[in-house]
Amino acid sequence: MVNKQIIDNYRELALSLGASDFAHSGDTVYIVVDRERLRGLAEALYWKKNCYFRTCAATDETKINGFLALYHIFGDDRNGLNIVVKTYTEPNNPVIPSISDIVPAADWCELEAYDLVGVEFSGRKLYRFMLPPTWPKGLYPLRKDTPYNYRPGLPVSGERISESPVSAVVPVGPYHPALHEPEYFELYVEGEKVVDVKYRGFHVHRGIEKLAETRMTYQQINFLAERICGICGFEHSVCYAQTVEKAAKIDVPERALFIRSIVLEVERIHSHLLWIGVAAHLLGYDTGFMHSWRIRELVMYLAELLTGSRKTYGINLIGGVRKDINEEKKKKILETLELVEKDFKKLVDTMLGVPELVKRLKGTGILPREEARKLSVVGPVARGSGLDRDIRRDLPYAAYSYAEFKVPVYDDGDNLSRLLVRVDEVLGSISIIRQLLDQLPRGEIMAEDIEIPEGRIATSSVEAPRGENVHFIITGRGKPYRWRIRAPTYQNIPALKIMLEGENLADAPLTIASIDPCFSCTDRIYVIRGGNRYRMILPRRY
Amino acid sequence: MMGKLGFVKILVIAAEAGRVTRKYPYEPPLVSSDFRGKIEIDETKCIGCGSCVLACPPNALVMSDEGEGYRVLKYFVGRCIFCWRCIDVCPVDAIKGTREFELATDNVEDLDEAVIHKRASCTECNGLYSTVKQKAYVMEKAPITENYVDKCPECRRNKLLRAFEKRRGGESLE
Amino acid sequence: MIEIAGVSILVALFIPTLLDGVERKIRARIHSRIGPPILQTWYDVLKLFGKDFFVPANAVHTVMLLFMSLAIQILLIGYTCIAVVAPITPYDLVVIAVLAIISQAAFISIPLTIANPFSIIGASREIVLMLVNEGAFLALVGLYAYYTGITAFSSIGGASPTLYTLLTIFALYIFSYVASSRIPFDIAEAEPEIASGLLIELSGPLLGVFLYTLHLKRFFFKLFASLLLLALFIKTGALLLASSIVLTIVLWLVYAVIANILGRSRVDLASITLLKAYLVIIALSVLGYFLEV
Ligand code: SF4
Ligand code: SF4
Repeated sequence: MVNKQIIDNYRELALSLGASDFAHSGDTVYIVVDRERLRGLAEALYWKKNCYFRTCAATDETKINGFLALYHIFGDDRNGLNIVVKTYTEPNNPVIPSISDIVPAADWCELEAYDLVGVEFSGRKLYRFMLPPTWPKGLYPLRKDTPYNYRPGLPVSGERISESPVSAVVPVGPYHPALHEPEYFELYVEGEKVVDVKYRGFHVHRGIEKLAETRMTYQQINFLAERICGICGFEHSVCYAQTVEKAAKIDVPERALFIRSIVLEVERIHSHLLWIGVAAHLLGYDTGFMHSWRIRELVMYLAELLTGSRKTYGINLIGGVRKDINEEKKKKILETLELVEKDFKKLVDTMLGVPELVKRLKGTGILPREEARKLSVVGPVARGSGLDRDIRRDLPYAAYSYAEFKVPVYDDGDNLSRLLVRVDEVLGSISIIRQLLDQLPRGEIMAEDIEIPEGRIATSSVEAPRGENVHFIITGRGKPYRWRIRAPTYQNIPALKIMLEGENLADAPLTIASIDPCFSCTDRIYVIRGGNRYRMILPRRY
Repeated sequence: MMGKLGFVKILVIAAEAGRVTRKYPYEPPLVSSDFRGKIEIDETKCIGCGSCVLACPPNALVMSDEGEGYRVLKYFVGRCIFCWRCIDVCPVDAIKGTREFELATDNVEDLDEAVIHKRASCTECNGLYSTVKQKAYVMEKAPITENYVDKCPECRRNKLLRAFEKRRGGESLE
Repeated sequence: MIEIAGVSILVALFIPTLLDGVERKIRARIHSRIGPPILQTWYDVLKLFGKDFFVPANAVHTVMLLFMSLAIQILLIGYTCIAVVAPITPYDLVVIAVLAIISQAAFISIPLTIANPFSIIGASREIVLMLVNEGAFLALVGLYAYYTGITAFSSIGGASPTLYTLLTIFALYIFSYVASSRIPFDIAEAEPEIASGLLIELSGPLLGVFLYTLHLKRFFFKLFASLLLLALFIKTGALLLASSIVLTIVLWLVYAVIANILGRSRVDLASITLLKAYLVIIALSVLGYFLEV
């Protein structure tokens, strides 16, 4: 439990900086602050108290209190605390001072709030970020009076690279032949050196939050949450379920918590094995790729046996889980883990012996510790840059407080460090599963009566393979009033700029992949004069 | 162990692992005993209560009233996420899970299934409500009189209101 | 005599693509997969020939260069096979070196004619690598001729297996490996990095021609080194040719294994490492020549 002294310190700090309200419940501290005082408080939290920044969530609360609200969520991981700072603003003049100069990690979520809820941030440059360029001005999808199925009938807008002196039309857009997801990086290269990076994403923004807030029910959303990520979806459904459980104060049976943790770790193993395979593939070592995925296949089969599906497990509900682990399955898990552990160790040993691989991993894609801290990066990216943070240990959820594990931290901040973090974590996960299976308590796997009162707030995080997921919920009737999701890659992509600049083009795909953005490679390349071998191919401004 | 040439060990690993891929579809696929596949609705058991429709996250199951006096439960495999929530909630165990997953077809109609129910008609106003089977189910499970179940919810409410009015001695409820 | 050459030419034109199929099978085995049938690469190439003939935008010279390099490659194989059994000129080695360089230059110019940044980056990577590799090739052939005084296949039996000649031939094998653009030297293609670089705009019959030329190239450079090597021990032309082809096939399989246990290098790393390796070997060999070991 959280130390009372620490909470009191926060209360003192908040009140001395002019907070108008302060509350505390479980592992979360709530502070309400006026617009004018927000920046001061943010600075104190982020730099004096050394909190990380998790995300911010803009909410249309006009139906409740007539205001728009912005929740900044900070995390004091050392003390196991979430700090939620709420600021109100009027819907007709929704201005809130930006904190992105103090807290660089808040850059994206402010832009998102501007696009989707229409909060104006003073003191920063605002621009279209998520919505398509042709989206009508003044139409904010996450405002409560915008229907979820409203389609503004946008004109199809294409982007074309203009004819260059060599008259090239580059037919690689967001659907790069080597890419598996429509993410879109522009790497400006000089010769083979990367000199600038631009990212444009959200081509596949699916409006999941809006869908859940309007059309679905609490229990259905578990399955929607699972589909946020194509690799580690279970993490999201656990995060969603536990956030609702926290808001509604539902007691989840211990056995269910254990099962959640076990399945989460199974997911981490297969996710990391997938990543290690992809990294090998990007380095041209397809043999390592295939063998990593061969081992992963054992884990996938295990996942299917435990849950009913290889990937979208679908066993989470608010209040517990739907599928139990019997003795026979327990045995099967232990057998599989034994095999996986042995094979994996051998493979990693061999892989790290391939000369080109290590040469190209070491010293490339460096993210220095200070930059990592400034951007509040998460997961293996943070741990590879010397930030010792892991939600499983810092704010334990599910059954992690019953397992002992070491959080691997490497200081070099390069691609090799991130690889090593993941390698260590696979072995860590295997050990966690063994420990939890050993202590698996008897009992129910589903809470009895589940009642979710309206108007409760909660935020919680889970440590997904790619870093922490943050979910924030305000409960409503039959469904969440507001559900905000922050996936780990959201927090890590801004760090890519730092990692890529000055890099070799050849290492860019690996570096981009090193944050594990669910497979990604270079997308579109602009060639800048200066390498004097190439002529310039200019993009048309859009 | 082998110093700089340690990477050659991958050949040993490959030899030990053997061939792991299969000649699917000429060999059976590797599907575990717990795999969740397509669902099957037993139309003889289904009573058309609609619980599954409410539980189904992606609207793979929908219910609509069609034609003269029919209520149709439609299952579209194309939307199904194989979560089996419908199985959890069905009161009469009419839905069964299978391990079938080879569902690709060149005819989209193969992906549709439907259970057609005859709707019950109200003895009082002749309006349509619920389904005949659901009515039978309710009567079997609950100690309610046929007289009550035979009426549509509207008439039932009106009857209740009238009963109230009587008890209160003819006072209007408004 | 000439029949043997004829048969060898036919074999040499058919077998490289087949060997690529075998290589894929070997790769599959190392990956613990079943893999495609052995004839798959032939199926692929034939299928590509059956597709629409599409020339990438603004790539007028591509087709010409592509067919030119294919023609030279076939010429090289034909010339060598004949020259080994029946003398053509007293300067076979010079002819071959020149033709090889022209074919490589044509081959590498193909992506440069296509206005696609990936293609151009791929080509420029290949050029950096080729500068080192082709330079070494010329130097090695020159050294061989200098050591043995042989410039024609008809007198090739006169070479004796000294250490320094063997070193030169060994370096020629390295050259043949690099020129085959296999991992770690497939940096010009590098599918996940630059989207198949120099291949990106090629499709249909053009891609088919490109791949077939690549297979012939792989075959020829191995064959060339093998001829020089086996000539040290086998003195009859026909037997030499036949055994060299067999050795080339065996080598192909060995190369296939090597390519699958390594990772891709980077253009700067690869060229420097390669340069160092060549310099060391050439220095050793020259040293050996003067010390007469
Ligand atoms: S399995 Fe799930 S998605 Fe499919 S019909 Fe049933 S509830 Fe709907
Ligand atoms: S009886 Fe079962 S299958 Fe039929 S509608 Fe009700 S829940 Fe669905």
